[in-house]
Amino acid sequence: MRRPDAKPLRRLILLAMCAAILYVQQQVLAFLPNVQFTTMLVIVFASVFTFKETVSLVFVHVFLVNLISFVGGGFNPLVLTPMLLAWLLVPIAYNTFLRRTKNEVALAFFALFFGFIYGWVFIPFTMLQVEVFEFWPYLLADLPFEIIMGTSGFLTVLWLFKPLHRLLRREIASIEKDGASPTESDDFS
Amino acid sequence: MKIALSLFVVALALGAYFFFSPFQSDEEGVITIEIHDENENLVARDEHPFDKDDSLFTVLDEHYEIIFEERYIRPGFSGKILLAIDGVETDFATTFIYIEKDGKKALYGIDDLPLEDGSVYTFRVRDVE
Repeated sequence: MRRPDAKPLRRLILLAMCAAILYVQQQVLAFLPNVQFTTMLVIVFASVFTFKETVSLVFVHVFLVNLISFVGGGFNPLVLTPMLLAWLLVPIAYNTFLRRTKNEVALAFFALFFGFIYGWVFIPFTMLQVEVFEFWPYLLADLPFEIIMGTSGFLTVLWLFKPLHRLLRREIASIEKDGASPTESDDFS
Repeated sequence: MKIALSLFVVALALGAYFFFSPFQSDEEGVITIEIHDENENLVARDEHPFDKDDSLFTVLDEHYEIIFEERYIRPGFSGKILLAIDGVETDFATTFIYIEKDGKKALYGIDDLPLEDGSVYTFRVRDVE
C-alpha cells in the first residue's frame, strides 16, 4: 500500500535527478567554453515544474558549480552572485513575459538573447573583481563567448525542447498517477 | 523551417564571432616596444621582429625582464596580467600597466593583443582610479 506522501517524494527525487543532469552535462562540456545544454535544460525544467521548483533547481545547480567545480570561482561571491542572478532570469522570464509558452521558436530566440544577457550580468561583478572600471573592454572581450552561448542555446532549444518537454511531462504524469511506476506505464520511445 | 532557421543563426553567429574576435596577428614583421615609468619617463624603446608563432607575451618574455600573473576569473575571462617590465613595477591594486597600441588604448591583454607589423606597443604605469 502506497504511503500518502509518496508523490511529493517522487517529485523531489525527480528534481534531484534533474539537478544532477544539469550539473553533469555542464561538467562534461566544460572544456568547450560556453557550449552547454544548461539554457535548454533550465527552460525545459521551467516548462514542466513550478516556478518555485525551477528556482530551487537553479539554486542547487549554481551552488554545486561554485562549490565543487573549476567552472565556478571557488565560491567567490563575485562569480556566484551574477551566475545565480543570470540563471534565475530564465524561470522569471518563462513565467512572466514568455507566458509559459511551448513555442520552441520563440523559446529558441529567447535562448539566443539569453546568451548575451548572461555575459552582461557578469560585467559589473568582473569590474569589481579586477578593479578596472572600463566597460568596453569587458563587453568586447566577452562577445565571442556570448555568441557561442547564444547559438548553442538557440540550436539546443530549437531541436531538443519539444521532445524533452514531452518526455518529462510523461514522466511527471506517470509518477503522479497512483499505483503506477514510470517503468510500468511509459515506454519513452 | 527549423533547418533554415538553424543555418541562418549559425551563419550569423559565425560572421559575428569572427567580426568581434581579436584580429589575427600578421605572419611576421617588426614591432616597437616603448616602456614608460611611473613618472612618464621613457625607459626603453626597442624594435623586435616577430613571426607567426609569436604573441605580444612571447616577444616581451624573450626580450625583457617581466613579472606576470595568471588570473582566472571565469571561462572566457582569464589570462596573463603584466605586473612588471624591465624594473617598471605595479602592484595591480593601486597601479597597473596600461597598454597602448599605436597610441590608442589596447582592448586586449598581452595574451590576445594582435601583433601588427610596424605597430608601436606602449607600456605606461597608471593609477587605479
